Amino acid sequence: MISGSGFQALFIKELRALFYTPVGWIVLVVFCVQTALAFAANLESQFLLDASGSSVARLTERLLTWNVGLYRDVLDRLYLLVPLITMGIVSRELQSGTHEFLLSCPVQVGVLIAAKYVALVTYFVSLVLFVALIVGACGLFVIDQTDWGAALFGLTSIFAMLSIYGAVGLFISSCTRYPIVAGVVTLAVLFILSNLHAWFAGVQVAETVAQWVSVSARSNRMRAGLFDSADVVYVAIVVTTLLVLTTDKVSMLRNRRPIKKYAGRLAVIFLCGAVGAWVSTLSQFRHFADFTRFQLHTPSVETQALLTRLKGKVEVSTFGNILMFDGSYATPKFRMRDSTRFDLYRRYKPEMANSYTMYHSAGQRLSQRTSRLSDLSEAESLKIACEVIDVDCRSVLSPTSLREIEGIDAEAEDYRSFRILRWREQEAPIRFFDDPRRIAQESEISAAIKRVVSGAAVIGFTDGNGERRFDRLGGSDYERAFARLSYRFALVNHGFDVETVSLSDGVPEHIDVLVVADPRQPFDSIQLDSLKAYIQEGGNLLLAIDTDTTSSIDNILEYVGFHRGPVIQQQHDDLPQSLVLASYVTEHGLSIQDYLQDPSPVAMPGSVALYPSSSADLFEQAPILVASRTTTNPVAGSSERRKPSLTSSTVGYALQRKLANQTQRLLIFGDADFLSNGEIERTSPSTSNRSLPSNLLYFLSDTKFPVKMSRPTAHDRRFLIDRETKNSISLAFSFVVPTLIALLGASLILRRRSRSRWLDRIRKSDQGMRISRNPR
Amino acid sequence: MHLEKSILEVQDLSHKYVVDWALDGVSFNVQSTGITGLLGSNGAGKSTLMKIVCGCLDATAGDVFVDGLRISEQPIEARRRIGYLPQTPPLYLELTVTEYLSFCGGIRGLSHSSIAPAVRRVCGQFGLSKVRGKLIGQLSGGYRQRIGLAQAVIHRPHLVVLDEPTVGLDPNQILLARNLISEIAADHAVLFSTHILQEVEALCEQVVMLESGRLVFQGTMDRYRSVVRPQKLHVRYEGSPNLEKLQKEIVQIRNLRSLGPGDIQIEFSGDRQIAKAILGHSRDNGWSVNEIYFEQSSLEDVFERLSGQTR
Repeated sequence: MISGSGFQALFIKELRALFYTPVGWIVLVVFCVQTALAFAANLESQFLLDASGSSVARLTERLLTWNVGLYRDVLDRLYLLVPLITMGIVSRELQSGTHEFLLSCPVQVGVLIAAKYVALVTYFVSLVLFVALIVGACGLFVIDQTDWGAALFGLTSIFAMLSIYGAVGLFISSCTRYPIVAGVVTLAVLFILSNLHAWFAGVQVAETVAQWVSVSARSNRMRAGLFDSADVVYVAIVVTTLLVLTTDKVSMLRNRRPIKKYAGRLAVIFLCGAVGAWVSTLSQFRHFADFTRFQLHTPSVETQALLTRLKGKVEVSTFGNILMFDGSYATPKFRMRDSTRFDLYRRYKPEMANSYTMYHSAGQRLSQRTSRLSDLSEAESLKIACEVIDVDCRSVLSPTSLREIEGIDAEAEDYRSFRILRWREQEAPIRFFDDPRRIAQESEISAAIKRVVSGAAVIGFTDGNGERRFDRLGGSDYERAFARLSYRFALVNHGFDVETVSLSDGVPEHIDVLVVADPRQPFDSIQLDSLKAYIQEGGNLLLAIDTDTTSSIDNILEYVGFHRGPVIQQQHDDLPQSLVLASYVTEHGLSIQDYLQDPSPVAMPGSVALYPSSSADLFEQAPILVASRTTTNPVAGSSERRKPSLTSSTVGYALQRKLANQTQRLLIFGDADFLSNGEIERTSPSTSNRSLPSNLLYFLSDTKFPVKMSRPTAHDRRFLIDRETKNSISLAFSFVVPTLIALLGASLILRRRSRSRWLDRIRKSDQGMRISRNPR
Repeated sequence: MHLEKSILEVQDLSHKYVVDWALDGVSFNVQSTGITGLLGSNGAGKSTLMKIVCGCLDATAGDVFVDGLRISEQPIEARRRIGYLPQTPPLYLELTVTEYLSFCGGIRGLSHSSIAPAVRRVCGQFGLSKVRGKLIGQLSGGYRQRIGLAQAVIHRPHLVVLDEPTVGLDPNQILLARNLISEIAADHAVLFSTHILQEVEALCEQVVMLESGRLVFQGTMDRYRSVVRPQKLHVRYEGSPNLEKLQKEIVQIRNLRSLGPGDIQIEFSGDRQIAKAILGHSRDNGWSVNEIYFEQSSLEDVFERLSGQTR
């Protein structure tokens, strides 16, 4: 029978012990100061980023829930403070002998332990409340349009961590009668629990167990705003197990059990915990809730739809070239961590498995090798790399072995590190990129999923007439936008295959989009007929002409209803005259205009205007890029003739027509440089050329690729305060609030003590009066 | 039948700490009124016995019934009927007296509404009213002992178990504590442990004696007195008497031992009338007596005697 009043009495007594002694208040004040300073430092760094003109989107995430946000700071330091609170909670009873009194009371030991634990957790709530105070102020006064869901749910990670730490401290405190010993051991255990997963990284089964046991690894999802029922079950299981163990430990003060019997009970407890944890990770029992405003930790609707189409086993195999950058992702130490990146998708595709293979190749591009190894032979490099990552060199395959064992041609991937998504007999590459993020994000992974589900879209580049090529690195060629493996936005990383097409042989049927990019040499009649036939049969086409494009292409232009206009010249400060900056036209009715909304212009050096022919009625037309040009009036008077005027010229058209069973789409541009390596890499002026290829091909591929994510952009991208207010807020939380808390604690404790002394004086004076009245 | 009369019945109780038996087949009863003294030297098993009775320890073998409830089967109900003051008063120094006693009332199962009246009652009973708002950490040892006694009776238990409640107190505090124990006994059955014979004589109506984990005596105070009555007499003469004559003429004298000039220890049999006989004989022989007194039996003597009896 559980005694409610017994629980309540002990709970209140424990709370009094925490709040009527200096330790509780000191820990609270230290926690507040630490937390406030961490927040102030983070706020300062975000302010500096903002001032430097860098993007500060997702401020809620950056200030609070991110890896370097407030919550992470708090979580990383909790284990230092918790032992100070928990160390005496049972051990002091054992030391002073009050445990005998408690055991003699008509209350079950489990109730005693539960009351102590609930009191601890209640104290911890005061710590969480201080963080909540900062979060509240930050959300109301610092960030415009705070992501409250993420911010508030992130607080549960601190509470969950404290709940576990409290249970650990309680258990250890029950194992010794010396509070100091309990404190030191608790500190050590919490430190181990926080870092366990890192220490056992790469050690097969131990890593899996450590990952499960590791407290900090568990709190990450909660911190970021994602509820995972498995995490909650984990917290519940760990806390319950520790409370049961503590209850057992205290009960053993009554009756020391035989070791065999106790060991058996321990085994049952751990087995129950393990089974519970295992069940909680089964997909049918696992539930998620994403508390971020825009469901940042949930695959987009489009990705979810794709995942549901993947029936059966899916495997993501990572092949890491350990002599190159990104090779570490396949090394044992990083596998577990890397595997968690796919948890996002496992929510909807639990069968998704990861496998890792290390291989070695010095490759062809030495610049990709880590600088340390660049001067060594491949054998020497391999030996050093194996020593550094602590693996047996025999487990690292050569490209030949890779081909024989895994059926993977690393050469096709330029001997880089890469992943292969495998589903049934289909495969799609997922690559690593030469940018700060390195790893593929949802759009690249979704494209790979779509690719295995419905096949790639094939882009054919006409070749043989001096066209721009997709496989050359020159400034005017198209390698970066279409085929560079290491470029995140390259179309080959978004579901497309690119190949060369010879018009002399006709356009193969599997070509989804044909690109004719600035042919300099004339087409012969066979080629022209072949191209016309392709258009006539409904093929999708991207035709880019330039100032030096062969005039034989005019025939095709005429066929689709256009002719060339004059070369456009624009006046720019500090930019070459030949550079044309074109703007998007957003007011016509073709679907492409829905996603060509970028306010930045498109750089089109040396472009020519395109004029629709009077007889153009084959296609529905929509101008999509327009450039202003400077013209002079040849028939005006001499003074007027000198005065230039601005005229708008269309340099890009989208064409569309409905055929029997499809919609044909064409894009015609009066410039061929805007998709070139040089323009994609341009940094000044700011242009939208980089995003243009994927948008154009999305239209041309009939929205098959790339996979567009319907996730809105973050709203919380603006500070509501200036620097002075920021400093005031930092000062208030770092100094004023902790001082007020310290004063509150001190006044409470001192008032109790002084009231006690005052009563003492009253008592003594009363005794004195009695003695004087009764001198005998 | 026996359970109806006894508030506590201990049956064949044994307890083993790792390898040593702290209690070995102890059986006794405590009546539902009065004070029962649990007497024993250090290490006799008193505290172990009390801990088992109060539920702090599980017995290795045997049974304890409190108010007819088998403590191993109905521990919560049995403990509800017991008030316990361990050897060291179980105090939380950061609490005030009221807070502490309220806590004790709550954890002993008093309802929320009855806690405040109970605190007032025990504060009045044990002279704590003036220090109710005071922190326990700022109170003297005497007050702390009173608080310990107060917590043991706050829930009006049927049996109050006090483990050496006078240890560590000064003589005045001991007297006060004895008075308080007597007051407690007016309303409750009291089982208290001590290794001081005088304390048992001063307070108890029943005595239970343990030695080396075994019961060596259980009975009323009268029976106890008959067992532990003095057997030695100390006489200090002005000069040096003729000891052979003295032993020859007073038949109760079993043995004489000279401790120094005129200083004699006499072992005797029979009752205390021997003192009169010695004084008369000395007067008749012109031996001047400066001092004569009975020597108290030491606990060891008593145990030796009782052990001999039980054997």
